[in-house]
Parts: sequence; structure tokens; C-alpha cells
Amino acid sequence: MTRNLLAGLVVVLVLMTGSGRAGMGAPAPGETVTVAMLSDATALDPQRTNDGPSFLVINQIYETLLVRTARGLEPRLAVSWRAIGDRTWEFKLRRGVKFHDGTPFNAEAVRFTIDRFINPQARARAYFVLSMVESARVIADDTVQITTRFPFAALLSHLTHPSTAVISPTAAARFGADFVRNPVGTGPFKFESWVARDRITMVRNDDYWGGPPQIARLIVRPIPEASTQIVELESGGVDLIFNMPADSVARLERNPRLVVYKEPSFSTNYIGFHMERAPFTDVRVRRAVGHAVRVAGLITFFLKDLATQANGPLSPVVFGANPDLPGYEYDLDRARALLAEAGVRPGLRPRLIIFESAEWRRIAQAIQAGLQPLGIHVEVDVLEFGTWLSRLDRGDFEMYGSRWGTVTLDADYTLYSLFHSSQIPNPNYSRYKNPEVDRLLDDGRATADQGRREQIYRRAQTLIVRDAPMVFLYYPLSTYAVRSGLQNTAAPFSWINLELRKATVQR
Amino acid sequence: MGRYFFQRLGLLVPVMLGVTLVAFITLHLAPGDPVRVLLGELGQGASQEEIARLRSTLGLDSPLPVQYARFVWRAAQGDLGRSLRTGALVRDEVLARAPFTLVLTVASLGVALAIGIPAGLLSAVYRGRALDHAAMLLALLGVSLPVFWLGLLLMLVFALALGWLPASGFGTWKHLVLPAVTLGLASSALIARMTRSSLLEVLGQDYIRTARAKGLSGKTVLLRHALRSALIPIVTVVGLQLGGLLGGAVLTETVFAWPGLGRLAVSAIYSRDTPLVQGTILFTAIAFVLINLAVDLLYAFLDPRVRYD
Repeated sequence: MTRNLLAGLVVVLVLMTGSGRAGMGAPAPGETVTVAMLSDATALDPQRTNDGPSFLVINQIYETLLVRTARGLEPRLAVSWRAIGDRTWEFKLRRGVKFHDGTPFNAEAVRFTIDRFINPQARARAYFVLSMVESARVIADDTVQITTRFPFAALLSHLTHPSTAVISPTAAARFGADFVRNPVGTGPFKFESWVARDRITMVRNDDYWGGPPQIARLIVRPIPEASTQIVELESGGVDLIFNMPADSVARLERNPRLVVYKEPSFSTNYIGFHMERAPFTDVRVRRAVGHAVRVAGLITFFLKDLATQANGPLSPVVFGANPDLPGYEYDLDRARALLAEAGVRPGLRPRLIIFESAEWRRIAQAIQAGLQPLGIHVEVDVLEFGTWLSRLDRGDFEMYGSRWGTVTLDADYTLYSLFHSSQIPNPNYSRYKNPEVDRLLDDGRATADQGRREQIYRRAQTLIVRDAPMVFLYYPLSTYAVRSGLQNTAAPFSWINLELRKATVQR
Repeated sequence: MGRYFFQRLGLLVPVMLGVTLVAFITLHLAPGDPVRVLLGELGQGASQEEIARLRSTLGLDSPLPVQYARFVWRAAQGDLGRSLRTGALVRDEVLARAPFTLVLTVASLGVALAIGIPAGLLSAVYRGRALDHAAMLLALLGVSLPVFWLGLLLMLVFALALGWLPASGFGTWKHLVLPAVTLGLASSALIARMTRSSLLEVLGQDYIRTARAKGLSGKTVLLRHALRSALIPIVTVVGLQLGGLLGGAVLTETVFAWPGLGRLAVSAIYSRDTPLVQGTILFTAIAFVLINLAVDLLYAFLDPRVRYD
């Protein structure tokens, strides 16, 4: 133990006296780009993690069969696909692709990845993404079939989720439990090193099938303090930061050396009700709350317009989102009338649970202020994230603030989880139960025709908004700021989808 | 002396059992379930079945006394288990972070001593005069300034405005300067105050008057005779600071994104990663006990009257 400690100390001291990163391999020619995120990755095996920082890195090293862009589903490692019957999809795979360790990418690698994902002995952390898959079969070297246990129309979208990225079978076998720290994929960047809580270093994959990226070296640094990230960006220590505090965005935009991007995200922020607790058993009371919150003001003053007002559970970028929902207009008289109709007298003290963050504190204050004139005194419990989760699980709340991201960008992912009665109490924390919505959501899964699915989900959202199990507040924008020399970056729908394949650097 | 040494080392065992037991109980009393935190990062749902499965895989479904006994039994064999969150060996995680913390600790202590002792000395010598008041006012400020505020301020000046030093992270010696100064300033203030009061007490003693009376220069009296006797309380404070710093300076490490033990411990607590919390606490406790032992032994060296028999 002491010897290890001393050895570590020597390494640290050597690193500090050297010109910088001694002992970490000769730098590749070309530019280094440094990206900051708030916390460190936990594991770089796509199947052994389910958190944003890990997925951001995994998305650079690994690739999924399909990707979802603004234009819809597009090929990535699969070049084409077709349905065979109502439970099986066949995929033609990209040929001539190699993993970073030289292992050929083929149908066998896909089968291995999926078998490992659904292996009952060691299921993936994000098992729910492929829990409907029964098997994967190799048809030819470049052809694979995936069969689900029941007709599941959103499978293609689920195959865009970063947890389903294809892994190198030889590397997974060779590293065993240490595969989480030795990732090997087919992506544009190869893993080089990981100094926990300091940096993850990747280098350009010169053999990348889509042509090597211009960036030679990509460093991802966990910097837990947002103010520090901003100083680093302004002083040139890092090139890209995500999700800046709303108050700092205007200042960053004025800096000529920086460019700020604001894009629609796949997330929705909402306040949910415990529908089995009076008075929120009554739809009129839930609607009254919806009419009493001044969301537009919240967005302008607290969020500095880094969000758009929500009219339903799905951000407009999600497949199946209904753009024509009425939403809830700010109307105090209407809210009072609804409460009177429901026979609710002033003096209610519902508890609202939120997790600790500046954003949620402000939302909670706005809710408190909005409901005060109705004689509803909201008691806000600001909780640490883990505590918030267990309070949700125990159903110990009357109202809860939450954010949900439709990671697969398909309506099923969110609507089924949050509003199908089979998902009570987790993650359908509101205990929402509507037989017609259940039926629609079941149909949406079983219907192959995407046009019809869209109609089904639109109808389901109309019913959900009418029943008001939640007050849908806003769709946050996904923001990131870069040094102006770094161009052609993208982060479609979320920071975790950072895309640097086509990025260029001019210093 | 040898017997005393081993007795003190023997004390490590109850200390280790005590701190891990308290940490274990506290973590389990606190609300929040490690399995839920593990599965629920993106707010997406895992079924009850998945939660139960992972809980049993991680051995978290046994009764708490069994879990603790299992931990102690394995720890006695040198196995601290694996982190619930990353699956890495706890021993490796802690030992990999410890050198970063050690470097930062030593550097910041260097800063603290280099500022604190001269400031305290000057203050004592010029007692009641402007220099004394100025030094003690600065010391008061140093103790009161929140570390994260001071850290950000230094960062704004030296990284952003002047561009002399990197803002955060680990790399060359330059990366060490700002966190070491931030952390060292707070300790230096404490050391300055301790040096001053301890010196003032000594300066009033008979033997100092004697030394002066026999014609020694003021400098010799101060540095050779007074300071050495005044060192004992200073060493005590320094030892306590050192022990505390070794546990990782959470705020400084967070502001400067320094990859030390403090951040490791905090994120382990947030994710209810019991084995990792136990590991960091064990390491800190051992470091603390050993440093206090070293301080006690140093007393004997500084003050020949102190004997450990």
C-alpha cells in the first residue's frame, strides 16, 4: 500500500515538473480541443453506465447502429433496415469498418453487443432501453436480425440510445471487468487515458470510416464549478463548455472570442402531482394550478429566455410531439373559479419536492408566488438528488418538480414511462391512470406505420394535457459556448450528443 | 519511547473501527438509495425488478450488521471492496487520488508557513504598533474569507486578467500555485495568530530577560531562544491543519477542479457509494493519527523536558 502510494506520488511529481503531459504518449500532430463538463464519467462501457458525462465520452469513442437527426432516423453503423413481420427487424451493416483494436465490425459484433446487453446474469445499467428485445441473430457477415418479444415500433429509435453502442467483442473479452476503463469502439476518437476527476484523453482515429476528424486530440475535463468553467473558457484553458448558468450567457455572448449556441433540447421541465392525494385527486384543482403559474415570466426573468414555454409533455423536436395542444394560459380568475367549483378552501399546504439546483429553486419560488393568491401555501423541500429520488420512490410528496429527457427522440420513450398505468409508481410518479391513454400507448408500440403512430401519440397527448397529471412548464434550450476558432461543432438535442466529426480548428 | 510509539500505533485499530462504523451508520441513516442513484441518473426509469436485481448483485440486500461485518472482515485482509458506482477497487481509487492531495497539502502548508511565521514574528516584535495591527487585520481577513470566493477572485486576476497562470486542473507546477495559495492563506492566518500569541507569552519570561541582559542581540534572542520555545503550540496547530488538509480540501479542490481526495469523498457521498466513502475516511483517519503521533514525537525534540516513557 505504501509502495503504491509512493509510486503514485512520484508519478504526480514527475508530471508536474515536466512540460506538461510527460509519459502519456507523443502528441499527435494537429490541434488539441478541450471540453469541460460538470462531473466525471463513471464508466466508459456503454452497458455499465447511465449518466450524461459517461455518455458524452462514449459518444466520441463508440457508435450506435442508427442516429436521430433533425431529418429523422439516419444510418450510422447500419446502412439500411427493413421490417420482417411485426417483431423482427433486419439490418444491413456498414462494411469495412474496424474497431480501434483492429477487430472487424460485423454482424457477430452486433449480436455479441445485444446478447451482453440483455444477458440475465449481467444486464446493462440502462436495461430498460432494450428490455423488449428477445434475441439478435447473425444472418450474414453484414446482416443481422433483431427480434422483440412483442411488436415494438420504437425499436429503431431505441437503437440510437448511447447505451446500445456496438462494442468490440475481443476487447470486452480481453479486459473483462476493466473494460469500463479501456473502451474500444468504432468512433471518430480512440481512447488514450483517463486520470479520474482530472481528464479523459482521446486521439483521432486515423482509420475512421467517415474520414478522420481534423481534431488530433480531444480532452474532456470534469470541472465541477460553473464559474471556473467560464474563467477557463474565457482564458482559453478550455474550448467548449455546456449549459452555462442563465445569468452568465449574456456576458459570454458579448465576448468576441466566444460563440454561444442555443438549440432546442429533448427535455421537458414540469411539476407533477400525486394524483392519489387530496385535493389533487380532482382534475379541477390540478388545472387550477396550471392556470396560476406565470410560465412566460419565469422564462423571461429567471431563465433569461433559455427555454420555450411547454404546452405538453414532449419537446417539439421529439417524434410524435403534438404542436397543437392548448396548454394552460395564465388566468387567476379561472383558477379561482376552478378551485371554488372543486370546493377547495384556502389554507392548503401541499409539499413540493425538488432537488437542489439554482434553476429548481427559482421555479419553486415562482410556483409558491403563483399559488399564494389562491390561498395555497406551497411548502418547498429542497433535497439533495439521492434523497429526492427516494422521496419520489416512496411517494412522499404532494407535488414534485422534475425534468425528463426523451433520449431516443421517440414519443413512446416518455409517454409510456410517465403515463402508462403499468409504470405506477415508478417512473409514473403521478399515479396517472387513464384506460384510453393506456390503450393508445399500447397501440403506438404495436403500430408499424409511423404516420399512424404520430396520430396515436397526438391523441394521447391531448388526453394527458386535459387530465393534467402534471403542469408542463418549459422545454429548456441546450446551450453551449465555444472559443470562436472551433467551428462546425454540433450537439443535437442535448450536450451528451456532442458531435466533432466535422469540427475544424483555426487558432 | 518505542513502547509509547507502538501503543499509539495500536490505537489506530479502535480509531479505524470507530470512524468506519460511524460513517457506515450515517450513510445508512441518510435518506437516499445507492441503487436508485446509480440507475436513475438521467431521470429515466428502471423497473422495481431491475432495482432489486442490482441491489442483490451489489450485496446491498443483506441486513446492515452483516454488511458492516463483511466490510470489516474483508478490510482486515486488505480488501476494501469495489466502488458501487464505478466498479473500481476502492484501494486503487483512494491511492490514485492521495498523491494529488498530498502535493496540494504540502504546497499549501509551505505557503502557510512562509507567510504565517514571519507575520506572527513581526506582529509580536512590533506589538501594539501599526505593523502589528495591519498583520492581525490581514490574518483576520484570511481566516474569514470563504475559500471558494478567494479562489475565484485569484482565478479572475491571475488566469483571466493577467494570463499568468492556468485557471484550474492539474498539469505543471503552475497549476499548483493558485490552489496552494488559496488554501495556504487561510492556514497562514491561523499560524500567524498562534505564532504571535505564543511568542508574546515566551517573550515575557525571565530567561528571555536574562538572555537580553547578558548582551545577546535582539535577533539571536528572538530566533534562537524565544521562537524555539514558542514553537510547540505552533507545531500543534500545523499538525492539526496538515491532518485536516490530507482529508482533501473539498472546496478548494472543487473550485480548482483539482483531482484530490476531497472531491472523491464528496461525490462518493452524493452517490451513496458506501465502500468508497469508507475507504476515503479510513485513509484520512490513518493519516490524521500518524501525523498527530509525529507531532507528539516532535515535542520531545523541541522541548527536552518532554519524555515518553
